[in-house]
This record gives sequence, structure tokens and C-alpha cells, in this order.
Amino acid sequence: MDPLFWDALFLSLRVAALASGILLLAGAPLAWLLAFRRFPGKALLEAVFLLPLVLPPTVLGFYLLLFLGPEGPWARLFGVSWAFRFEGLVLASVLFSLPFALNAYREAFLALDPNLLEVARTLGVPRYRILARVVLPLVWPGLLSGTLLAFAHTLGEFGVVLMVGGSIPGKTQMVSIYLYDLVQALRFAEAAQASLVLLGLSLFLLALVRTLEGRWRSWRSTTG
Amino acid sequence: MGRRLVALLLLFLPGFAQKVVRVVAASDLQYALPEVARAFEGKNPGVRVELVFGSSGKLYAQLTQGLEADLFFSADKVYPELLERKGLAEPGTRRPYALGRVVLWVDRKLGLKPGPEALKDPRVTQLALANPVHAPYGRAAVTLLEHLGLLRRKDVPLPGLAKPFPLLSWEEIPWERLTGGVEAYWDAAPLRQGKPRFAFVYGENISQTAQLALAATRVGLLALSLAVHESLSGAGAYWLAPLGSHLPLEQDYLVLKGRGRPEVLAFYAYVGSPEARAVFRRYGFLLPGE
Repeated sequence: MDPLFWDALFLSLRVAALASGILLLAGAPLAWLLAFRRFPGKALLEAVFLLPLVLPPTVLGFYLLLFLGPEGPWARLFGVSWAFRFEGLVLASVLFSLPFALNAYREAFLALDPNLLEVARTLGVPRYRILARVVLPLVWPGLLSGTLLAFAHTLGEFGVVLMVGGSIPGKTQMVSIYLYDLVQALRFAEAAQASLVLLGLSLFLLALVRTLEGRWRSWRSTTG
Repeated sequence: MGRRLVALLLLFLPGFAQKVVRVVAASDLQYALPEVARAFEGKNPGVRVELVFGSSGKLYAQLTQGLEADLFFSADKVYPELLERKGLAEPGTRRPYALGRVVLWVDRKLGLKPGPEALKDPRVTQLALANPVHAPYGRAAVTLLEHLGLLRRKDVPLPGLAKPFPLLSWEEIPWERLTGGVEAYWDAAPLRQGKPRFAFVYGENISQTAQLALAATRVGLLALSLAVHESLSGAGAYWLAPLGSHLPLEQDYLVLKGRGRPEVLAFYAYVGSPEARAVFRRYGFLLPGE
């Protein structure tokens, strides 16, 4: 196998790992807010978070490119342009996979039995302990499956990274773009080999997500 | 209810009694070809020309996999020749329609005079070019930089080549195997000198490359036919690479196998007419026989 394929695959894995990690840390509290709190403008905010689901990825990527480019707001604010860089790819992936992760996290929170929280609260258990002893043990499979889904989704993204990445081999050329270039170059046999690796990896991740979801459901039925 | 449903269904049906010519074309024709097509439609009522743009390599790959199209306009002659060899072209229809020109486009805000010297300026830290693996303009861009002395061949082993890589002529370079990026095969030291950093940024086709240059890199090796359009000429200026300074972009077109319907042949012929040639000329193409 072409060593460039492994470079591209590891780059994709690094971007996906970092992006899904950020999504877990920032997205879970956000999903909690959206699941349980009411505030003015909530519907609009939810619509904004869902936008990456419906916007063509190339459009999202183009706006990000303008945003991150040398004359964009980001560069003016922080003095450094993130276009065509690893950091830019991570930011793009976070935005791109946000709706997937948020939906999964919110499902997990909404499935919590509110009585359980009530009981814990009336017993005078401090908030952080409710979180650690009651909430997390119940929702972690849901959180993990959402994060894995975001991870897998990032591995397969194309339009956004095409625009923001500039496909620099070894630096910003993610595995989806690498595969696309192989096909364009009419190297179908190598493209098929590389696709097979990606297919196996994706299948494994999705099977893991389903297993977690199944386990989570059976847990809920025993605890609830 | 029933009538509404029928009306809705009608929306999805193609226009009745309208003859359609399906054209797939290299993206350097993004602005010129629609003008030619509209003029043709004006003269031939009842015929509609549908245009799809992409990199020539991508379109070629799709055509070999059964993409339905009547005419193929490439940005070089390599892909049309390959189609012909595969028996996917109508025999005897491959012919040149234009010669593509390459420009160095520089954003006005950089305050640089467009020209090869501008590339050495420390303000130029990113250069956009089409991916040479499958876009003819990318190949022209790389050979231009080599011609200008800004890129030097590295002695990289490429298996299966009779000659060492540094000795290959531009036509002999196995572009489709150079997936490692320009700097894996060429030394870009002259471009990097005196700069904090420097990177080649690759567009998927030449019009996406123009977009990258316009939105972010501020410098790009683009097609003249795009650079003369107001979207780019308003924001920057260009330097025209002389003929012979890069891999020539002799652009061929052809009728696809079994697609020689009268309306297709009419558009095929119209592309060679004086009116169509005038449009191509206005977009900076050189024309066959001139």
C-alpha cells in the first residue's frame, strides 16, 4: 500500500479524534442545556446548530475558508490564518459533525428518568455527585456512541475539507480527498484497496455504536 | 388534489419536444462555453444545451463509467485520445477547439506587480494551483514553475520508468502517479527563500483553484479564460505565461460514441464557427489554425 495512504488515513484519524473529543467536552453541556432548559431564542439556536446537516458541505467549507482566510475575521482577531492548516480542519470538522453529536447527546439526556434526579436532589446529594453517581453512569453509552458517530462522520467528510484543507499531501490531505485523487488519476485498483481499509474501519465503528446503543437500552430497562 | 399532483409531476418532467444536447466540459470553459451555448440556442429554437463542468480527469473517469453525455470538451488532448482508444468516441470527431493559456494571478491587496519575480516575495506564502495528478492546468502550472527555475527536479525513484525522473520531458512525466504533492518530486527552494513558510495549495479543478486564490491564498496559477472574468479581474491582476513556457494545453473536443444526433452535430459544428471562435478569443484562448 502507498505510504501516502497511511499518511492521509492517520491525518484523518487525528483530525477526527480531536474534533470528536472537542465535541464531547463542549457538546455534552450544550446538549444538556438544549434538553432541559428553556430560554428565549432556543428554537433559532437549535436551527443554527442543525445547519451543517442541510447546507451543502462545499458551501459550509467556502464560508469557513472566508472566515479563516488571511483577511477573514479569525485572522484579524487572532493574527493567524487557519486556512489550509490542521487547526482549520479540526474546527471545520467540529462544526460539520456538531448536529450528529448534539442529537445523540440530547437523546441520551432525555432518556434519563427525571424521578431519579428528583430523588437524589431531595436526599440532598450535591450536584457534582448527582452528575458523577447518577447521570454519567446512565448516559455514558449514549455519549460515547454519539462521539463515535461524530468520529466516523469526520472520517468520511469530503466537501468541507476540500475547501478548507487545500489537499496538501502529508499536511491537510485527508483520506477522503486522497481516495478521490486516486480515482481521478484512474488508479482504480489502489483506490479499491484503500477504500476497503476505510470501509472496514467505518463498519467496525458503526457496529461499535450499535452495540453501545443496544447495551444502553438494556441497561435502561433494568434500571428504569 | 389530483390536479395538483399532476401539476407537481409535470414539474419534474423534462420539457416536451425540446431537444437536449448534453455537454461535459473542462472548468476553464466555465464562462466562455455558456456564452457559446446561449448563442447557439438563439439560432436553433427548440434545442437546449446542458453544460456540466469539472476537471478533465474527473469527467474522463466518469465517462468511462457510463456517464450519459453527447459531447466532451477537455482541457488537454490526453483524455480525448484515451477515450478514442477505448472506443468511446465517435470516430473522426476528435479535434482541437482552443489552446489554453496559463496566468499568474495576484490579489491587488498584496501590492505586488504580477510576474515571476512576485513569487519570490516574502508576502507570498501560499500558492494555489490545480492538482497536477488529474487537472491539465495543474500540470501546466508545475512545468511553468520548472521553466522559470523556481522548481528543480529531485532525483526520486519512480518504479517502472525507463529514464530517471529528472531527465523526463514534460509529456513523459507520469502525472497520475505524483500523488505526493509537488514538493515530493520538485525542490521548491527558490520559492521558499526568505519566507517564514510556504505551501502549495491544490484545487480540485481550475475553477475551484481560482476560488481558493480569491478567497485565501491571494496568489494562484490559473487559466486566462477565468482570470479575464470580472470576478477575478476586479480583485487582482495577472501575468500571462508565454507559450512554450509550460506543458501545452491543446484542448480537444469530441462526440461520444453513438451520440451523433443532428442537434449534437449542429452544436459540434457551431463550436468551430466564426461566432463561437470570437467568444473563445475574447476569453483569451488561442484558436486552432491561427
